[in-house]
Amino acid sequence: MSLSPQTQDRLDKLRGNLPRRTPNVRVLADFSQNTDCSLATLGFVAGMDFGHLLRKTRYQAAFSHSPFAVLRGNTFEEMLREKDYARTLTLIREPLGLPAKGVRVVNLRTEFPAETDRMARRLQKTNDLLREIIQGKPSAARWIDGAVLQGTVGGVSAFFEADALGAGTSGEIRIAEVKSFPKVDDRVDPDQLGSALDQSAVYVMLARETVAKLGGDPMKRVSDRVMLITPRNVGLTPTLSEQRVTARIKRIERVFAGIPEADHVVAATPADVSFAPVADTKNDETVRLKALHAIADRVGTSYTSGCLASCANARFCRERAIRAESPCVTGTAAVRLLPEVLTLGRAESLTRGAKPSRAETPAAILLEQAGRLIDEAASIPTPNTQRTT
Amino acid sequence: MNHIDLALAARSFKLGRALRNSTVRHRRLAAKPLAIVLWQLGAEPFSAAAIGWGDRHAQLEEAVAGEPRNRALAFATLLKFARWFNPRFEAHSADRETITRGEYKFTVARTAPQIVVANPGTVEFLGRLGRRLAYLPTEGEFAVDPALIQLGRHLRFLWDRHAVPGQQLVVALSDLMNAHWVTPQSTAERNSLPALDAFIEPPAGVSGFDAAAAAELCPAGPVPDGEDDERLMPLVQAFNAARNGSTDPAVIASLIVPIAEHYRPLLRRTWDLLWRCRDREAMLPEARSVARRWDDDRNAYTRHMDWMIRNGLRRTRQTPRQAAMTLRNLEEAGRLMEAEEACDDPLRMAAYVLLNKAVRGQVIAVDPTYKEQGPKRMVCRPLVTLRSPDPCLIPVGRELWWTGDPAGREFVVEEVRPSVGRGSDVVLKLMTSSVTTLPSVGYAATFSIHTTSSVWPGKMPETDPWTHQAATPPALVESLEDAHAEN
Repeated sequence: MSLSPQTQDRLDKLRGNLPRRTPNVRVLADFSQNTDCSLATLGFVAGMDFGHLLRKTRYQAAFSHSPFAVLRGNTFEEMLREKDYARTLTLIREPLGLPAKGVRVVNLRTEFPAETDRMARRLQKTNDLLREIIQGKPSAARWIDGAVLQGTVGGVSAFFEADALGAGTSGEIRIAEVKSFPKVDDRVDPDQLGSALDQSAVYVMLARETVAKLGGDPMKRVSDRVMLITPRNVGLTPTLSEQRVTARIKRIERVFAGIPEADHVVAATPADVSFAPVADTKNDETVRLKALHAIADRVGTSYTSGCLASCANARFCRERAIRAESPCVTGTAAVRLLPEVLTLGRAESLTRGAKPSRAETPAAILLEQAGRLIDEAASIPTPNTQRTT
Repeated sequence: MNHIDLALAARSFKLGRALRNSTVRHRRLAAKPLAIVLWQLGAEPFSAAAIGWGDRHAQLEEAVAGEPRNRALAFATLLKFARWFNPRFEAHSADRETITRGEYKFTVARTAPQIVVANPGTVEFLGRLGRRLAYLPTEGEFAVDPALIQLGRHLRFLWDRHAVPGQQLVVALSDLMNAHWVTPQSTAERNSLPALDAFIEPPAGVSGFDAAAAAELCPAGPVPDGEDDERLMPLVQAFNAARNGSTDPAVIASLIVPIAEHYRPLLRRTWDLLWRCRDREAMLPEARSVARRWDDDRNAYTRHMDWMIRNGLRRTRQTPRQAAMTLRNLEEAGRLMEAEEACDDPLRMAAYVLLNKAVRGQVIAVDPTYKEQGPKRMVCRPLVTLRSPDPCLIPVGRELWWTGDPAGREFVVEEVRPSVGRGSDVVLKLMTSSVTTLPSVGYAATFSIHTTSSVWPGKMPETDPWTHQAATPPALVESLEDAHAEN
């Protein structure tokens, strides 16, 4: 599937001179938190990296990765590849039911040097290898490092790079994810585990689509029990954990289905909107921010406190929400407790006994009483007592 | 979030500064706490890259590992800290008072140490360091200094204790301030100590939001900002190249200077923030029930110190029976803390009044001699009539406790009748005839669902039910060290 030339052209103009960001699982996971926001949707569909958009302005996002973390991840992955994947094979031999010798391992990361169509060729090779597995060839690969799967995001096809695919001798395909966070006392950090399993769920879903295209039975062939390889304790000794991700696959399928088609988004966007003047660091900061405000005004945003963790534009949108006195600054709980009260400023006057409109009344009664109780609490005398006889 | 916090958040929004949601301080702040600041490398959760410590603001001591991924260097840094921390932490155990409960006598330390850190992230990190150190061998090839093991076991205890609601042995300032201040910020923003502090005390002429937006870019640790680690990376590489595998203190001493210089402003930044926040909170008067919780803390500390003499090790995974008991104790501690805070603080109680879980007003009548038919003869059941300015929706028959005596017997709502304006007159019946205190006519009083008397926890079954039997027995605790990995 590909875009019409008109849409493609329009998306390029939207991005200005910046390169297109291809959606990977991480980008997708972040976007899945912000699908309600028109600005985030436009940026996602256009392949606009919001991390670049506000660079060198006061709203620049504070997402930066420690080089030590990157180094640790790379060191761990390299270690797993050493000596023809000796450590990896020790871990996966039992769960995949592999023989002691003669296991074919393919590394697609090194097989194709940097070329323009590298990902497409890796995808082709992955499909060939998967076909052999489905056909039950004895010489089929049992471990595909850096397998590439295809997915359709908003009507555009994209490449997704899985850490590894494993295949048992029974022909069962398993997704493997390599992470460098440690497992201690049989536990890993729950947040990091959650995002690793979410990523694996994407690959399970895509692998199933691929297997179906190749004529195999996707549900039978591709297991939803994913393998997670992490270091154990404080060293880098690898260990394998397995977990089923059935529920996560369902959620991921909904996320994919919920991404709007690029054609529709483009059609709904005013023709002269472009991120180019915002992203241009040669422009003055005021000019850049003014341009982004203009886009946000026309396209619309939907700030929630969760944006700060997932969207690089969040600090900009937060500032807009504060200027608008929106209760979403405080969080969804505050929004829920303030039905029909549109601003925090208005809520403040209601706590001081301002006359509410008809729609505001349910929230206003409680706010007024709360305000009175707060003022009262400052002036309560200490309780006095008497003895019963 | 309740409506009191929401109303305060709205007012705080208008004001551009934080507002207190408590009239008193609900945690003890010791005069001489042991303050700790930690930094780690990104993605190295079990090694401290830099440690700052001291028991007053003016005296910050620092230790920097240089290459925290190297065990010898990491442990050498922790050992410096252990030599300062252990004696100060253990000293409180020497001075004991004897407590008699019936025929049973035991001793409790008169004082206990208090550890102050910036945020719960630091407490988690201390817990991880404790996990790493507590189970190390004292013999054999990988034997370490016993002071490290001692430190590990103390840290493990403190991390465990930190889970208890209302405990005061470990104070994470962002938690303390979140419990006492309301801002219109979201939860994630409030969990950042710099952002919260900036909203509470923004520079003159700057709104809380602007101050917080600037402050949130400078984290308080232990996880570093990516850009800080970018600057650190070449320093560590140069350090490793220069030391050429050596961990000899004499060799390291001069080579480590650039890395120490890197961490000095980071440690100092969090250190100053930590003390500024602590001193600001310390200015407020302490709540009445803090003393009761401090006694609990002293008890826990004493039990830990006694256990240290015998072995000091704890399981890293509890048995189902232990887990059930722990959960029950934590829930009870949480309930007690909520009750005590509400009874100590009218502003905390306001939230319950709003939820119709408490009623407050002026006492308009007290009948201490009211009698009714008991099971056999007439019994005294004193009546108190309260005039609430708001309509009271508490049903007749509900048990309430007077905040003047929350550990005492319950009152039962006898009658609720409309009063002047929109208010209600509530008649409450005390369910005992024994001598007790009652509120006085003409004064304000509050009755709420909160009681500070404890409830019998119930008996555990002799054998674990099959639902609570683990499929496999918990593994033995092992050292986290990996004999092969060494940088």
